[in-house]
Amino acid sequence: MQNKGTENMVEIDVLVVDDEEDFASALTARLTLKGFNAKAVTSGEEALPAIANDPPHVVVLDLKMPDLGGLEVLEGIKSFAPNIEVIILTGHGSVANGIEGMERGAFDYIMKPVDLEEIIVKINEAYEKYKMNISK
Amino acid sequence: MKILVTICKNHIAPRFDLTIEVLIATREGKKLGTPFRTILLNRPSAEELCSLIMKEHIDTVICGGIEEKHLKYLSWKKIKVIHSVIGPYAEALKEANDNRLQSGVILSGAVSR
Repeated sequence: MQNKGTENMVEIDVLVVDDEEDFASALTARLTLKGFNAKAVTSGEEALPAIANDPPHVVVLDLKMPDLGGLEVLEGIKSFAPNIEVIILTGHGSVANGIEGMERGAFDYIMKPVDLEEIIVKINEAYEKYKMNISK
Repeated sequence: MKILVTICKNHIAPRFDLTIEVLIATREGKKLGTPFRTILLNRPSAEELCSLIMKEHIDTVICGGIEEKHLKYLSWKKIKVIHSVIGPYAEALKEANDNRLQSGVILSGAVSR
């Protein structure tokens, strides 16, 4: 089921992990307006317990964070919740890191600045893959 | 013609340098093409915002307060900047499309914020 505006019938749970608080809160607010059940944490260290306590369908994960980096968080997620799909956010010049993330099991990567429609399409695609994962 | 509006929720962001969200609208003939694009910046940064404005080939910027150096930079790049605008971005876009929007205006929808 696609999240388009407010006519979606299934709430997709999304966790945004980004140390840029303004970005994380703005993205969470926009996703909520579009009908997603979106939450945010602002560090890698917060991310893993948050996911363990309340597993989302999709994680939107920044690569560059000061404490626990995105790739380490990705590995942690895949070790205890392999069905959760992860979309990586990278800055300019971080394409190699984005590809490395995909090699470690990320669904896809998106460059910042982020086009809201692009990330919504990716989240919906990731959710479809999540549903396939759990039906196996 | 492409118009970029610095936004905060449903209003024009009060400060250019603290903007994290922008909306890009394309004017096709006398109408604004929809849907508008919403872009989220990595962090509030006037430099990154100027870079995005250049990369997207924006013709007109609608914003709140803006530092003189950024205003001069954008003007030097031949980008029209309508600044110090207060109010809902939808109303600002409509006024801009009708060529009525001017710098410093407080839109009627601003009072209901």
